[in-house]
Amino acid sequence: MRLVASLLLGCIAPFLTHAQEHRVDVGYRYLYAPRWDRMVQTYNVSRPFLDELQPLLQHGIGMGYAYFFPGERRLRSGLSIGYDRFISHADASGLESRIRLHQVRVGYTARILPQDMESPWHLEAGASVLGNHLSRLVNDAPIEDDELRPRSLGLGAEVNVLVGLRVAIGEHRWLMPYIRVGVAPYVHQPSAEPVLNQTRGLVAGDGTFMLTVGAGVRVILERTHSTPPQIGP
Amino acid sequence: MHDRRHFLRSFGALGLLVGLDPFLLAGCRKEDALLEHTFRGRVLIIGAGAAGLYAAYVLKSLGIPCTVLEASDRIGGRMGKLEGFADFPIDLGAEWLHGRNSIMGDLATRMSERIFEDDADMCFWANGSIVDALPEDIVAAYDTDDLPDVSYRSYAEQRGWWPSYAGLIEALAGDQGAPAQALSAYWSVKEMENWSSGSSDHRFKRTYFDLLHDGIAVHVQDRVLLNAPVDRITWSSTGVEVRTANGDLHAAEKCILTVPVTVLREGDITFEPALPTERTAAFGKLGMGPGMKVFLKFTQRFYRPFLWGGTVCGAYQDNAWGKDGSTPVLMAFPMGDQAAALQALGNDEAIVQALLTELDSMYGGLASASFVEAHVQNWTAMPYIRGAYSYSTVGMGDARSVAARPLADTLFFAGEAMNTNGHFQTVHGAMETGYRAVNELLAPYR
Repeated sequence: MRLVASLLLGCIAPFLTHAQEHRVDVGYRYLYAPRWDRMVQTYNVSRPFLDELQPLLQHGIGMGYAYFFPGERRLRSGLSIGYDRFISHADASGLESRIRLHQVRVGYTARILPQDMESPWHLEAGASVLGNHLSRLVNDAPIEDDELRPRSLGLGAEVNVLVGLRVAIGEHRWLMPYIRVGVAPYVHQPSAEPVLNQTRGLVAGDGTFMLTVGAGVRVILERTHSTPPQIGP
Repeated sequence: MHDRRHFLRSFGALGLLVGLDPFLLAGCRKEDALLEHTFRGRVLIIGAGAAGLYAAYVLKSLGIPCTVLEASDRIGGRMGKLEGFADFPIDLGAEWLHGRNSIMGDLATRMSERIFEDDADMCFWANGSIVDALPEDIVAAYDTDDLPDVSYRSYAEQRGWWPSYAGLIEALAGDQGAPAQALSAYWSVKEMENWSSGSSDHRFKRTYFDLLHDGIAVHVQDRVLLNAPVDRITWSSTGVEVRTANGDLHAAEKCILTVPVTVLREGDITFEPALPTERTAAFGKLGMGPGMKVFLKFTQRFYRPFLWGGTVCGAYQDNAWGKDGSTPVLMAFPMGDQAAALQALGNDEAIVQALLTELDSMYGGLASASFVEAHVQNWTAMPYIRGAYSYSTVGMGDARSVAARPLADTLFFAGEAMNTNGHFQTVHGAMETGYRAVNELLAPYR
């Protein structure tokens, strides 16, 4: 374990120390996956014995980190990684159901600052690979404790755009509220229906379109050898 | 000053975006979207088994009037309950909850139904003795996905297991309600590849029938007409008129048929106009063989909890195992050709005697010596069922999907045999087809 940690640190450390910018963000996430909506809606119409409907899988929280390579200050690019978690919770009498989606994004991001360097606007565009893990708990336990436990892995690709406003909070440090929109035209998730609807074939298809809207706050740390834009009063 | 105003304006614009976007999107999405519909007609359901009762339950929850026409004098179809025979209630029909990730798993949880995993030790009757394991793992061999489309028996002959393990092969096929000579080694695996409800088998401290009754039937029993066997269905794209054997006519805009496939393929119901040839051919490709459960009560428990491989009966199970009771009751579960052979004996006494004779050979005469009484539940002899459950036949192809398709947006097909997602042969699979039929029926009205 110690060896693995040392190796990882050895690999990551040079990147971290040579980065031009580091960014860390947290925020709210909103998910729109229409085929999954249909599965949850089918679940709800088919369970009259439950006195509370299963909410659609749509609200979550997320966090991210981005590492930007050294380059011209107006246009920089780097690598990003993000983790989002969505929960749909229904507390019906005798049956508390919790659907969980863990989503990991790894991607490439480019950042553009306006020509007017004094403007607080900040724009990013990127592409990521998405990995999903979808599962369901009933009364805080997995439904089945065997190899056929309902869970679903998924994979997709996403393009995303982020708009933010930089607020200087110190020398080479900014706080940036942002809104981020990610679109994945097709996320392949073949076993989503056994998780969301406890069966297969009622909603056609093995994947879904996915839209993610994120809003949150990002902290930006820039290395001192470049001149940051002067923003604000 | 200008900078400050500019910054605040920009910040306000972003805040508005951040705040409004999810809520604008959320307004277009509702978890109860499928509960809304514009259908204003009436629905007839033929059959008050698990699929029919559940379809009625879902329709009722949606405010849609429906009537369930049941041919026999009781609800439940192949499910039933026997009380007073032992100091625990007995399931006369479906007994195992196959995996908990299903609608029945949810219902059992919701109703706080006491269930337990059935992990009784299995042993085998092979070559004249009881053994704990087979020299070749025959059971596992039938669960691989590279099997040819030949019958279980033919495959056993190819592998040299027949006739040495004929009883076991019949038991394996019988577990799927089939004779070994008719069950397809290929399609029985292929059709179940979408199975998603879990691999563990559970039984009920009460009975499975109790769950069906208390969880579903009580909500719709006022809509069930008993002793109403249907003999004619006149259908068109605008509706149906259904005639029962006593001449009563029932009209509705939609009809959900949940009768066993034996009833569909053997012409109990006349369709006007006749069903398309492709449809009747598909019914013919769905197997449904003989099956029965025989409960044997003894004065002592001399038997193993779960034995497979008898030549008269492929499977014997201690029915008290895991139950809140101790009466020694052994359930014999002959299916397929074994059930047919027993049925041919002509009466229940002869069936019981044949089983006792086989048990005596296994347990040194203890069966006859300690026998008290028996109850025979013969599904094949039930006039509106006539079999155990559907199975996959050699060369069936997509017959199950073809059989289950709606006709003219008027006739909808449900029941375990019409389950196309791997859950056929099960109660939860039958219920899935019940609400699938409701969804199909309402699709144009949403």
